[in-house]
Parts: sequence; C-alpha cells; structure tokens
Amino acid sequence: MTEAELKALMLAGLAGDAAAHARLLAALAPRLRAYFARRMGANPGAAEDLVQETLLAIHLKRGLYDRDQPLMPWVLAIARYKLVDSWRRSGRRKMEALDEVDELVAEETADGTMARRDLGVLLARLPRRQQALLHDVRIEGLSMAEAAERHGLSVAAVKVTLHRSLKALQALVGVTRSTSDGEIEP
Amino acid sequence: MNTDELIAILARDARPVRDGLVQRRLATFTGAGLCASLLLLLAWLPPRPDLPQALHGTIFWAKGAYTLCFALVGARALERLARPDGRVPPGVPGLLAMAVALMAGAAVIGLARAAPDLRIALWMGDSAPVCSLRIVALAGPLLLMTLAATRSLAPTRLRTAGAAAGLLAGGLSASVYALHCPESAPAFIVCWYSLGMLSCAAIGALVGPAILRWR
Repeated sequence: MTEAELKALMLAGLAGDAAAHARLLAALAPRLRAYFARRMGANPGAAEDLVQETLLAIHLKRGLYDRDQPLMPWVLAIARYKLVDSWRRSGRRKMEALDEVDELVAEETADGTMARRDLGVLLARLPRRQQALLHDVRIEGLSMAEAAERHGLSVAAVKVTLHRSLKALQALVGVTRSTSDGEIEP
Repeated sequence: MNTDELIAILARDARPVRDGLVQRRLATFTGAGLCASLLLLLAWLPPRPDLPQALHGTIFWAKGAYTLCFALVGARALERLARPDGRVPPGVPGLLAMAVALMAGAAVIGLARAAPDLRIALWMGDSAPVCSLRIVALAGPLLLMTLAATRSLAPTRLRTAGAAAGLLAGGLSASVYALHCPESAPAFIVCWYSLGMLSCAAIGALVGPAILRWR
C-alpha cells in the first residue's frame, strides 16, 4: 500500500470510517513489526509489544495528525519515540537491578566478615587438625579431595573429621541445625 | 492480547476527530495560564501609575510587540513540536533573531545619543536586578499550563518542545509584567526582558525531557 493510500485511509478514519481505520492499522502493523524487528534484534515478544503500543498511540493521538503532512513520517516518529522510550525504561530497570545486586553483595560481605570473626574464636577451641581442615574446606574453599591431599588423609577421614568438628562447633555455639551435615559436602 | 484483536478493538472506537486539536488544546491551557499570571500580577505588583498615558505612547506598544514576538515564536514552534513528527518551523528562529536585532539596534542608538554618564542608568533603569526574576516568577503558572498542554499532546523532541513551551510562557509573562514595569529604554528591554524570557525557555528545555514524556 502506498503512502497516498495509507493517508486516504487515515483521513477516512478521522472522518469516522471505522472500516478504513481498521484497514489502516492492519496495514501499518507489518510495517511496524519490520521496523521494530530490525532494531530489537532477537526479542520478538518485546518487538510485538512495541507494535501494539505504537498502534495504540497512533489511535489515541490521531487527532494530532496534520492532514497537510505525509502520514508515514508521523507514524514512524511515534514508533521511534516508543522504541527510545522502551530502551530508556529497560535501561533504567537494568540499572535498578544492578543496584539491588550491589546491595545484596554488600550485605553478604558484611555478614561474611562477622561470621568469619566469630568462627575464628570458636575454631581456636577445636583440636588442631579439626581447625586446619575446617579452615581449608569451609573458609578457603578447598574440595574434600584437595584437603585430604594437603593433610595426607583419605577423603573419608576428612569427611569424618569435618563432621566431628562441625558437631563440636555446634556444641560450642549451642545450636543444632539439621542441615549442618549436608553443608560440609562440596 | 494479539495484535489483530487490538486492531479490532481500536477500530470499534473510531469516532470522527475534529481538526485543530493541537491549536485548541494549546490555546485553552495557555489562556488559563495567562489569566493566572494576570491575577498573580494584580495580587503582587501594582500596575504602572501612568498606564493610561502609556497606552497612547509608542514605547509601550513597541515593548509589547517585542515580548509578544517571543510568545508568538514560542507558540508557532510549540504548535509543531507538540506533534510526534514536529520540528521547529523554518523562519521561526529568524523571526526571533530579527526582533532581538531590532531592539538591540534601538538600544545602541539610544545609548549613543545619551550623555556618557547616563548610559549605565539607561541600561540598568531602576529595576534591573528584579526585572528578569519577576518575569520568571510571573511565568510560573503559564509555564505549568504550556507544559501540561504539550504533555497531553505527543511531543517527541522533548527538550526543544520544553524550550518552546518556556518561550511562549516567558513572552506572555513579560507582556503581563509590562503592565507594571515603566522601564522604557531599549537597552533595558533588550537586556533584562530578554534575559527573563530566555530563562523561561531554558527552564522549559531543562525540565522538558523529564516531564513531557507521554505514554
């Protein structure tokens, strides 16, 4: 459909011809789909949302169309505005999401520092081998196998020792947690 | 909802639309803002005591033509920029430049004819420190209304549209202020009136991108 035909449909729609208005929107939809598809890349769902937002804006703002001007520049100006607006909104959402992550990380770090300090006090009361294993596995993050190699033990022995030391720690802290056994597994 | 359903719903809502929506909307809102600005002036500052005589002089009208020219330029630009595909119409910046050039020329002639020790007095008048600020203050209600009208339409160049809304508000506000202000030297007007009006445009440009967004 040419610019002149589309404009004729628009003018008829402005005069109250609902069928012409429907034909205009139906003819614009694939053009808008192509416009947004080129610019949104691999996000067809978001592109279709923008097609609908733009069609809605074309409908709601059709009183702002200057009948002396060509139609398609008017339509594409709305499409461009909607595209930029969606970028702006998703950009802001991303920024907000990043802020949240930063906060979570900060909280976790603060907690971790506290926990480490408390753990240091408690660890000092455990037998030396248990201390060393707990430190290596739970704080330094070595795997069971690595810890076993470092201390010249079998993996099974490391597991048992860790289990015991965790029990001992629980007794020291006076807390029993049903999951604590599972937590020493890497 | 799929797009075909949306189109069907929108088509059912296709009532006839009258032409001239932009002009009507801008005129209504700006008219309301102008009334508010006049009321603000009446409540705040007395009209110049020589207003009846001034109405018969040319300087009052030259000053009014100058400030209304700013308003006209703002209105012409805003009428376009309130639409999605709107641009600053050609010739409009030139009109503004011509008005400023004319007033500046008159200012230079006035200053050249004055005795050297009176030139500062011509330029500063009796109210230079407050003039621009009062124009901006009187433009407050006007700017709110021109921005509200623009936002209710569909601008896409938000900063430029904000500046045009500010220029319209500033030009009308300066015209309102002229009912109070008896300053008549072109040197005063071209400096302090222009500064007030352009400040309004700057405020509009500053807030435009944030508050002219429509969905």
